[in-house]
Amino acid sequence: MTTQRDRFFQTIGNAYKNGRDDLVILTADMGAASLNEFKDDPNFLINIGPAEQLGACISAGLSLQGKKAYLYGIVPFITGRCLEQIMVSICSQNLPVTIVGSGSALSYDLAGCTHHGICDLGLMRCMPNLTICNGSSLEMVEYYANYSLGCKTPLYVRMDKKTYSYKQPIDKEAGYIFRKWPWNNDKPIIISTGAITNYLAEQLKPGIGLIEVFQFPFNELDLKYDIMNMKVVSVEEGYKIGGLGDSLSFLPNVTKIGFDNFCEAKPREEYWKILLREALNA
Amino acid sequence: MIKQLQQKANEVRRKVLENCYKYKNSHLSSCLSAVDIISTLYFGGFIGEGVGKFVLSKGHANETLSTILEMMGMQRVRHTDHPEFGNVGIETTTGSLGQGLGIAVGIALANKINNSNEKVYVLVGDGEMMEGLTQEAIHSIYDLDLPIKVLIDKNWYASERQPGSLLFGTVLKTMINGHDVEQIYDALQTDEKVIVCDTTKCFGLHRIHDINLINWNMIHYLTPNDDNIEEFRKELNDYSER
Repeated sequence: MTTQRDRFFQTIGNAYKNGRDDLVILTADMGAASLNEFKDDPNFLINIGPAEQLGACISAGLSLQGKKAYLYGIVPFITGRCLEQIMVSICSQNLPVTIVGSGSALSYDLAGCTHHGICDLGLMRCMPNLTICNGSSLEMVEYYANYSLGCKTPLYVRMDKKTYSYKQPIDKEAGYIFRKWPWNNDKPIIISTGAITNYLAEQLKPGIGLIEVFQFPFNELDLKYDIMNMKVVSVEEGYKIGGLGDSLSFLPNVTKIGFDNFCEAKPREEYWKILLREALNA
Repeated sequence: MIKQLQQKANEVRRKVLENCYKYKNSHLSSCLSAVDIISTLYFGGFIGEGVGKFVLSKGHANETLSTILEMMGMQRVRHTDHPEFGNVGIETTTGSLGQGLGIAVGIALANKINNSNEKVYVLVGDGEMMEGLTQEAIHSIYDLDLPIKVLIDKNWYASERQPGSLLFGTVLKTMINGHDVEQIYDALQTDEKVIVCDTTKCFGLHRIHDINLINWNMIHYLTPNDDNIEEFRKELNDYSER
């Protein structure tokens, strides 16, 4: 079954095969099956090994020479470990590097806290010039892969390790910043991001609104007009500080649901149930 | 040619002192240890469009680089103690130690992919070599066989302490006198990827070492001021006329 990272790199690989010879992928992890066919093409795919700090700097250097560089690794290592290199080498020079993180939130649930991607959203939101794309499905990841090919500024594409596909197609009229479900104005509304949104969409009763945020930062006005006077509950599969909930601080009435500490190594669905319960109690 | 390079280096030294005084730059000592190396790179014809790019990874020696760029007709848009992308002639922002070397690796990698003959030269401090990132970068230079030349400014002082060992005993074969422009010029034409340049902080201000004009432990942050500038000018003039 195609994973999100494979869908992403299939899209980038196809662009390369169709003539985009400016594309270069630096990888600190060769786990993506879609990269295998390029293993012997050192002009396109370079395995830098577990050296993410160096990778961030190399991607900046490639970019300064006109290359479109992709820097790929597992979420906590490709963000937190090399945060200063991302800030200085990439973001301070506003270079069109795309950082690709696989394993957002508790994707690597049983791997333990070293592999949990629960702090990256907060860390990367602090990076000037950087846009975060948090697609929760194959469709959105493919969209962001195509978007990245033309993007002239730093991008962080955050992907889940597992495969999710939307039952309903994306509403292109509504754009690619939010996905919204219908709601009643007299009920609270839940705002979420990432794979847990798919779970919430299945579990919530009709009338309770749900909004999925795909992209950070976003224009506050796009949300403000709709929900300014409503009770809002943010639900994130991540550490509360700095993440989705804090990005909604412009709203007057937000209850933030998320993690207060590191998570145990257990199936993420158990955490999803806890987060849903806390959201409904709020 | 060598005589001209020596004269240029002496001219750079004097201008660096004046600019550090003008801008209250607190890294005079590191700027002076790097003068002969950077001066030889630029005035020796190693840097230029399609020929070579230079990255100053030890960004705190920026006054030396900016002074040389001005001498070559590239006026700075704004003064910064560390190189900033956007200033004329500056390839990349540096100053966060270790990162310039990594970025230079990326530039060299792009050149290799593009089959370009352009070389990349990067100057790293010996203190900077204590950053873990530099170890990753040096490894990748050999692993990827990149067209890059790393010059290590071994001035024996990292901020306020002795730098750690360079750790690369097996690959660092070449050690030259980093204040002998002939040795520098010759080394730049070899195939060695990493060259250690034995240098001295505050090079040219030798009486500082002799008469302890300043606290030696604070030499990394030596700033020319109204109290010491005349003494420093006289010393550099004496050195140039030796």
